[in-house]
Amino acid sequence: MIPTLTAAEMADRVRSGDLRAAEICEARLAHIREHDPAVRAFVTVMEPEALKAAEEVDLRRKSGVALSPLAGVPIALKDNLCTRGVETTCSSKILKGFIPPYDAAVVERLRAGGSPFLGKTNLDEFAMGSSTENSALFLTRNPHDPDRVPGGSSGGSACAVAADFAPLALGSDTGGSIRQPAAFCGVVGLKPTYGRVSRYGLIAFASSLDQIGPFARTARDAALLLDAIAGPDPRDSTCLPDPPPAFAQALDRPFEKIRVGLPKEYFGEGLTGPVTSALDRLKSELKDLGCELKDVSLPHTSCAIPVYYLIAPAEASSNLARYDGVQYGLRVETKDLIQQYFKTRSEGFGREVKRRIMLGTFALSSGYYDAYYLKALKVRRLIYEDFMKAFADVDVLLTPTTPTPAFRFGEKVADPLQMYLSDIFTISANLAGLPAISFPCGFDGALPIGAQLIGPALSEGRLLRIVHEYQKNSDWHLRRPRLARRDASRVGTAA
Amino acid sequence: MAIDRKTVEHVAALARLGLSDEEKDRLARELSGILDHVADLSRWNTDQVEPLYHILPIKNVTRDDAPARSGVRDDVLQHAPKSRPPFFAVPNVLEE
Amino acid sequence: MSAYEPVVGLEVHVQLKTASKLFCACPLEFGQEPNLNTCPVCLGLPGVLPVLNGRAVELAMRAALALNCRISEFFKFDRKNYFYPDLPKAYQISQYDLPLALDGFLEIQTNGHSRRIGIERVHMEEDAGKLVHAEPGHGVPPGTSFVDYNRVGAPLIEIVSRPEIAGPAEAHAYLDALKQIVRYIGVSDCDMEKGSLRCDANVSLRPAGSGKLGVKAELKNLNSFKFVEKALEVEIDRQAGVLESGGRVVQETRGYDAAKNITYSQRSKEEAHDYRYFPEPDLPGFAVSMQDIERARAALPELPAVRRARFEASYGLPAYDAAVLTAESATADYFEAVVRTGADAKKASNFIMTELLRDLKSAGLAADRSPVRPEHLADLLQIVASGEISGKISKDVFPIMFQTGKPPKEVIREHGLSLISDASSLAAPIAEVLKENPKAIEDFKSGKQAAIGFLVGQVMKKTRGQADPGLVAQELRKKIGQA
Repeated sequence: MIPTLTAAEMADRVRSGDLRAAEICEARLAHIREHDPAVRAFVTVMEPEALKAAEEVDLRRKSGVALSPLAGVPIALKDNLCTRGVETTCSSKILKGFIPPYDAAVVERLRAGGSPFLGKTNLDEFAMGSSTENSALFLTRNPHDPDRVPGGSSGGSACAVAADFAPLALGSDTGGSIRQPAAFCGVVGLKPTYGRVSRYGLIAFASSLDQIGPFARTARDAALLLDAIAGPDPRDSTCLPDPPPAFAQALDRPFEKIRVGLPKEYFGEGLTGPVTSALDRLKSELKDLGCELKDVSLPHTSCAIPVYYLIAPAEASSNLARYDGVQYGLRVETKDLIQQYFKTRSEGFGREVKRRIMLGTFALSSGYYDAYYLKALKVRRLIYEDFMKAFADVDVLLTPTTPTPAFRFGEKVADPLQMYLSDIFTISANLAGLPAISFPCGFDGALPIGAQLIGPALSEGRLLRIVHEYQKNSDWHLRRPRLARRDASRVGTAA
Repeated sequence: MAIDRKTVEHVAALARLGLSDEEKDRLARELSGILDHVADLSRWNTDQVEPLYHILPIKNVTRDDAPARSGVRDDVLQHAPKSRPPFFAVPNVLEE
Repeated sequence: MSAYEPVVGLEVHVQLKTASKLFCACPLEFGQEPNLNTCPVCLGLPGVLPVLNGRAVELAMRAALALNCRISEFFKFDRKNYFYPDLPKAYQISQYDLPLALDGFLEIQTNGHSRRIGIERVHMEEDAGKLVHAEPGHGVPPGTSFVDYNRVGAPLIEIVSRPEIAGPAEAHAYLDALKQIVRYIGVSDCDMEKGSLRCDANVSLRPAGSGKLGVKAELKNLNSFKFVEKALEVEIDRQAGVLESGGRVVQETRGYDAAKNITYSQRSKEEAHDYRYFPEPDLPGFAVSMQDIERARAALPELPAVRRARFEASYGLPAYDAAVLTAESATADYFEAVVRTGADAKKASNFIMTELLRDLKSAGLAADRSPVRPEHLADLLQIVASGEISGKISKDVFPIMFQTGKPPKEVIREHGLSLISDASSLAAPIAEVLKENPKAIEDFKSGKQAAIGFLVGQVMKKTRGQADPGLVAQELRKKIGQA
């Protein structure tokens, strides 16, 4: 009954008393019980905690306390967001049994606002990957086609929204980890400006690139979730002090004429036919909405992947050094401490994580720092400057989110470089710290196709307004997958 | 640039990663491939370019010197792989 | 040994006197229950982030200015990566290529002349924790170490000297001068026992007169200034022995065994150090304006060398007095408070150096905690000057003042210590002394003037020092003349 309600609608009904938060929560949990065995979006389902939080919202309403905008709307959390008292694994063996004594800042805010947390979702181990195949726990299946990946690294969160397990989910995006799975799963995914949302309690992959953001079916729901999580936090020195605007409220402002730039480097070879035609159709639809289209160029686009695959692994090699079995998580017992380090980290980390730790350690090591890491920091500035020049002429940039729709399991996992190249359109926004949103703009058969808008720093409101306007005039975002009921464990196991 | 097995072993030692022979060979191959791709960056002259350390326009972020006890010790010790409260416990570092 | 000259550079870590840690709010208390002062940030739990203590930056900047450094217009933090169980994140947040301050110097005194030692840099970093080696038994498996993270994240500055220190004695003098300045400006207690000052020394030998540096050894774990000096002495001898026998010094880290008075190699099987420094992405950089620097400079108290010179010039004190009084800022402040009330500078200096500093030392107090308030000491000196009590008695009055905190007048009254300045009350003791010492009277009469001094001493003894010695001598002469 409730699946087709948006988060905004759920919140309204809870507030008006038409629905109890506990009813909504129970219905989502029942849906998860029925269909998640085939999708496997969740690492941990937090049934008792979610119901308790929902009941508290109902009590608050009854006692006449004003409810916050998302009170009673259930949410799924990527399992790299720390949750007090609930195991947080990053889908890694090395964090097995890690129970944080604190909430991430975003979790704390949502908890205070009365969000029932349905559970923690699967990801590529430590958010390193583009298909969620690198989870050390199990595979997550694309709800639109169980033979295909959901994208990654926030694959579980994207699936949770696509499969209507939750109207909202949080993910993290270091090189496209929200936008690419959003595109593959046919939902909206927003990576905010770097510094817009506190990273406190987000288990770090690459600190200078990581940013938490929302998944939702509609721009309005994404805006509501962003409203709830954005804003200054004294516990994160890289969190901007600017108070954020009210994103959801601003959606209905009159739609002004927007100049949309089309970076030629994003429309070259490598796009599949259906992606090209979906984007062509989108361009003309945006024109109809009053947007002005303009060709632009971002000449250093081809540098994005090399720069990213130096900076992100370098930071990761340091961020992941703390997993040594001393204070928490996995420890492989040995007599000698140094052996303990080697054995614990060897058994605790998966293949892709080791690969990136090796790459990052190499890039920072004596004799190679200048040629690799420092070079990457310099080219990162060139990439940033490309965007600054482009934004002198246009308000936003439009690109495909990915060159192809969701690929099949195992298709790219054998060749790391091919996997890395699938992030080609999403990485630059992280390197430049810019907000970017992916939204469904068509289908290739059963497979969703996503488009991406990138804006200048702090322009999330503008991105959301464009998608909102588009969604008022299209229904791609309402196309739901037909969910299977089979048990995923019969089809394959984790890589 | 080609990464040989010896380099792989050196880097793995720095990163405290135990690797099997098979892993070492595979990583030497994979890292060489990735670094070949990365070598494209040398096409761009960056002599006059300042490295971008922080994308943010903010600086001088500090907090007040106000002490507060967190109270997490017992919780953390309880979940530690090995502890002897109030201490964490580790095997000795065996020197030669 | 004479064919070679030693070159020493010192790396000194000083713990800043803040209330909380460098990147988290955990309190800094010495001797606290293990791991009590820890939180997710300093324990390096996943996902948490450092936030810089603004007071630590202020104190570090003050120290850098006092050491005549140039404060960087822009500084940032970097990660120094290495694995050790006392380092929970497996990296230390430190500063690498853009440190807080560069290019300073420290004026030191050796053998009566003063010399400048260059300071290469001053940077901020966080401290590591402490490994406690477990005693066997009590169910502790053998080969286990315990870890206490109370100290992890304590704010430190590292002060790196240039390799310009000429030898062990000069190293000691450098440390004395450094400690004095840093304590003076209120940046640190510099208490080696509590670990708030730690020192590593780099030492190499080169042919005398050569401009080139030799291969150095790094000496670690030197836990007193005396040990720094001794360790350098034996290490210099060791290196000289190696070189003279045609060998080569190896670049390495060495420890110092105080009991055996030897240095020993600390090479471990670990991979050669490659700290893989890179900019700390969790902390934005720091821009320092001219106004910031001027404000910090204005907050800087007068430094010991300047104060010493001023004490000589404006109070007319001998160099020795000026040095002793300005060794600690609290002592110098005390002295100036006494003099401000009109006391004679030299007399105040004498009294402080002998009486006050002795009592403070045995009570383990600094001058700012003295039970005798400066105005009370000034009163005491005034009472002596007026002749109401003798200088000798003032030295009996002072310890009572120190014990009770009472003003001198009250002590003198309570203990009946005021001077006997009434000739009539001296008559009896003088008569006794004259009776007991006929020989001295003869001597005096036969022209030995010194004999009168002896007799005065005898009278003073009988009056337990309460007589006015001038009056006693006058009365004695009178009595002997009459006889």
